[in-house]
Amino acid sequence: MPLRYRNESELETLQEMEFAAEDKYWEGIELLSSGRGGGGVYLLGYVAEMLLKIAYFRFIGARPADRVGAYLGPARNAGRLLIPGIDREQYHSLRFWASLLFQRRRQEHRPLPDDVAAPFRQRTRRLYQAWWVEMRYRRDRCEAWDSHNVYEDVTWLRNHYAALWS
Amino acid sequence: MPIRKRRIPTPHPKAEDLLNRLLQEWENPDSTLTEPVIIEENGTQDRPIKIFVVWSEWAELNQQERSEIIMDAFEKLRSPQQSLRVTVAMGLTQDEAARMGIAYD
Repeated sequence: MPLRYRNESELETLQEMEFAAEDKYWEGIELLSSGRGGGGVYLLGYVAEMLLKIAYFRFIGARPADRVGAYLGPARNAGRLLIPGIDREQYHSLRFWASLLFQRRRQEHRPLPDDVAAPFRQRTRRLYQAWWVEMRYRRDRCEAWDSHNVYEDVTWLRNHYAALWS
Repeated sequence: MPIRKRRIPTPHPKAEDLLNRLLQEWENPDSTLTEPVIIEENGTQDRPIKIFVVWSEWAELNQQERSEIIMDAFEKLRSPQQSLRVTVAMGLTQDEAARMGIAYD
């Protein structure tokens, strides 16, 4: 069976996304370590997007086997209310997901703990300034320090993302 | 700087019609139509609301489009504030609902 059909036959669930994030994380690291900064950053940006989405969905009660699509409409409406003016960028915006998670937690009187909140804001802001989904149509302008920062920030998210929803 | 046109994603051609029909059904709980079936779960005070809409008309739309239409309808019927309580908005065809074990009276 062709790869596309093999992928499509798997439902897009939270746990499928979590596996994808882990795969893409290591593939991104491989690229960065072999000097392919553009490709590595691009993959790691997707990792950040997936981790932020999972964290938000888990915070509002999603379970690993739940389908992702059913959570997008409610997230869009919550975004309009809690973070008006922040573009979803077709649900790819790191700023959208990071801000939504942050504000939703505050709105439900369960803000992120201080020791997580500060680095979370700092790192997701820097990631947003490095990555957006449309960069795939641009030449590689990635410098060594971009690679380093993206690696550091995505690794922090990966190491702390369970704390983002608990 | 060159002027560029932003690509605005267009909604599915059936989206508006489906939204209007869904709204109509939601406002008429005594409707005799067999579809769409609107299921609200855990809708008590302060509990998250899960919405499932079983409808053959969803077949051409992806999960994201279905979820957005359901949320558009919900927000029109209730309020943006109420829509914060909705955590799941899932559109399913009859077959998909059966496969997922979504049972209803």
